[in-house]
Amino acid sequence: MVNEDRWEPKIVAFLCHWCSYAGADLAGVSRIQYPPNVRVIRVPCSGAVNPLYILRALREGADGVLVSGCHPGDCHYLSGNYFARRKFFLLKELLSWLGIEEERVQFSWVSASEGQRFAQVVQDVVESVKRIGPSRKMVKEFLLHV
Amino acid sequence: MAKKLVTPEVFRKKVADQSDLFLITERAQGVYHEFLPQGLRVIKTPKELIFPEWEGVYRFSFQDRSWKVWEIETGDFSPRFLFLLPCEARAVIEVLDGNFLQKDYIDKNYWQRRKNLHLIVLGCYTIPKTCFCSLVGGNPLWRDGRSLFVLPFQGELYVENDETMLFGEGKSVDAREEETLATREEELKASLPPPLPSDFPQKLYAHFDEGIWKDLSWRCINCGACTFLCPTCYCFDLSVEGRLRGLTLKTWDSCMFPRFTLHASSHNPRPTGKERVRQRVMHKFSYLPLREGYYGCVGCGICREICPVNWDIRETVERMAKYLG
Amino acid sequence: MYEEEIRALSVKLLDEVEGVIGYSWGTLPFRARPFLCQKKEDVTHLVFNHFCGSNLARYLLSGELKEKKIAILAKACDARAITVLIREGQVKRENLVIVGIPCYGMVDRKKLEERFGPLQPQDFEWHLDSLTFKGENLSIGPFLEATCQRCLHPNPPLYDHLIGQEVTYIPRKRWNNDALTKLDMVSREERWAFFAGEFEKCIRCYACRNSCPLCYCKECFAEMQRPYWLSGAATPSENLFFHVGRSLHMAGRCVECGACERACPVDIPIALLPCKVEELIRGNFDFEAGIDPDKEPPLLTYRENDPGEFIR
Repeated sequence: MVNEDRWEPKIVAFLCHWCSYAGADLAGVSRIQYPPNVRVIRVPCSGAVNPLYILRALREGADGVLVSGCHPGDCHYLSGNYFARRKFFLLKELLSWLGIEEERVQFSWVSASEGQRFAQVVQDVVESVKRIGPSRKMVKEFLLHV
Repeated sequence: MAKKLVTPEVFRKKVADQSDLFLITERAQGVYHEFLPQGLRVIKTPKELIFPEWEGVYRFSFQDRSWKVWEIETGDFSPRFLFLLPCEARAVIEVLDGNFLQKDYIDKNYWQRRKNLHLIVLGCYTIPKTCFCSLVGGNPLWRDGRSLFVLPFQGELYVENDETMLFGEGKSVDAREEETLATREEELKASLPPPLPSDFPQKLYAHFDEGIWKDLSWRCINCGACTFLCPTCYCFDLSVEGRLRGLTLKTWDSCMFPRFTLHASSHNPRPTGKERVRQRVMHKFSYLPLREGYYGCVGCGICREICPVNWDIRETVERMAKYLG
Repeated sequence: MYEEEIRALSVKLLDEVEGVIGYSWGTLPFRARPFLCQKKEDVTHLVFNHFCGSNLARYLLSGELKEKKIAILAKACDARAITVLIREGQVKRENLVIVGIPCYGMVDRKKLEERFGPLQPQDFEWHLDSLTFKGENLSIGPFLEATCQRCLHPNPPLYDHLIGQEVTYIPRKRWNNDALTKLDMVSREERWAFFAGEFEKCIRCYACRNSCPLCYCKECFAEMQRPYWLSGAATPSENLFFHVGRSLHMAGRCVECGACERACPVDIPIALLPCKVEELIRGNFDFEAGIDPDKEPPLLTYRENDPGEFIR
């Protein structure tokens, strides 16, 4: 149940094992503060993120999804993030064309050394999702009845 | 059975005054327009009102180290009146009620929805090309004590079985008018193709393994358009939503889908389109008549109308009847 | 149209193939349907007209025919779908005899009804790109299916035999159905209002998926139990999930034949979604499905300068 007054967005973050997850780790060990709204799911590579993962996260009640991987050219598997970029481009364009708020699904490149940047990205994502409010269009209806 | 004649003006006004109570099926909307007010809520198929596309059956939650389960009650529904064609009414009264309101088990949520849904049958004078109700024992003027019946007659509306005086007092029907109606009904019935032979279900049952099924089913692409829009198809699936907290969902299911019969062992007794098409025909034209005494098809023809590849159940049944002799 | 040629060719082909997949008249007026012709005496049932909307490539995948030598009647879309199927290893080129037919577009029955009221077959005469209604000659353009009005490839890119003359114009330029561009113009809220209404109608019968020649997954993500992506309940959000998921699954593969839209029993213009994705691919990745079998599909390749501004 969404309590409108004390609502905090839930963000599901798919982070690539080699860069962004390590970046998040660095943010942690460097004790950099960032909003606790993200739920991190580690994936081998941003190229391994099936668009269905993102849709499913939104369906299960996430207010926003962040997918983060290595910078172009830095992929541990050489080109996984290039393939990912094409997939995400189509997903993002299609969702926004259908009328879903653009902020719901966001992407970033964060390297293992960018702890500060990771914190900043999370900060930005959480703020932008807060601005648009709770997700309604893509959440399974029965969740609201449970 | 009370019979009366109502003027179209009175009828239209009665309906228009309480238009939020009245609904009409898409097919009835297509056949009738002149004496019904505009703007009634149109529904795709009568079954969606009593057997919705999806509903929760029970909720569950894991609390204090134990599972808690609650039944989901639909609550009461206010009375609603549905205009529908005779075939669709027959689907509700014979097939759906027959399935969900059996003697030994009554589906509670179905009954909650059904008990305040009043059917108003609109008799057909013009018969669309897709219809074949006479083949399966119906007729364009089919009615029954459990529903109202309305028919345009000599510039007025003939209303039958209006116990609650929904459409007012009206004028009583005299003997001559009654005779005219009866002759018209006879003429109409005589102009239609005869019903399937009475031993058809039995014969069909015996021809389960015939090679002809492969031929008949080739065209079918196994989508669920026919079964989902069929007024009689009542198969449903149960699935669980959520892990530690959630609900059990009841959704429409179709015998055309591979998962319909998929076992947990991954064995599927109906592996291809052939078996699934055979099941659909057999269930409607053999199993149900043999077990319950009525066909599972009311001949409304919606499946013929909407089939993406024109797989035609009437053609199939007639071909089978000819094949079986 | 072309009936004599199709029948004569089919008789010849039946000597070497197991069957000819084509169209015959349906059981109701203004409907043609897929027909498998296996005997020479049945070739008289074969027809071709403006109602042959079903994509026949779909039937190449049904179990019985998969390993056999088959002739298939192919409009441009069907031939493109076959090209994709060959590329994806679903059918073998050497098992196919493709009878290509240049296509002037398929007629939408509902558009005819809207214009002429209840339809009588005898009132109509059909020509390649026009029709005669009670003696009045009309262009066929306004009555074509939306996807046919947007068509870019009226001629089959792949065939063994070609029937008739190639179409000399590009239908999109001539008929220009701009439903997609129109939706690009309106605000996001208006687009959402439109699509929310459409997804509300969906009953999840999967007619779109099953009529699609390229939706051949043994187990569709929509019906999977493990992982369980979504339920079968036809709620607006679940319908959105299904259609977005399917459109992305079709990305770079969809040949924009409109079979899904034609099949929809509740009249959702569902081809808009995969077509939008194809437009994006055409514009950004310079690819069209089913035209060049040797070109790498867009999601199996990349360029370093692909659009990436949307990524932080």
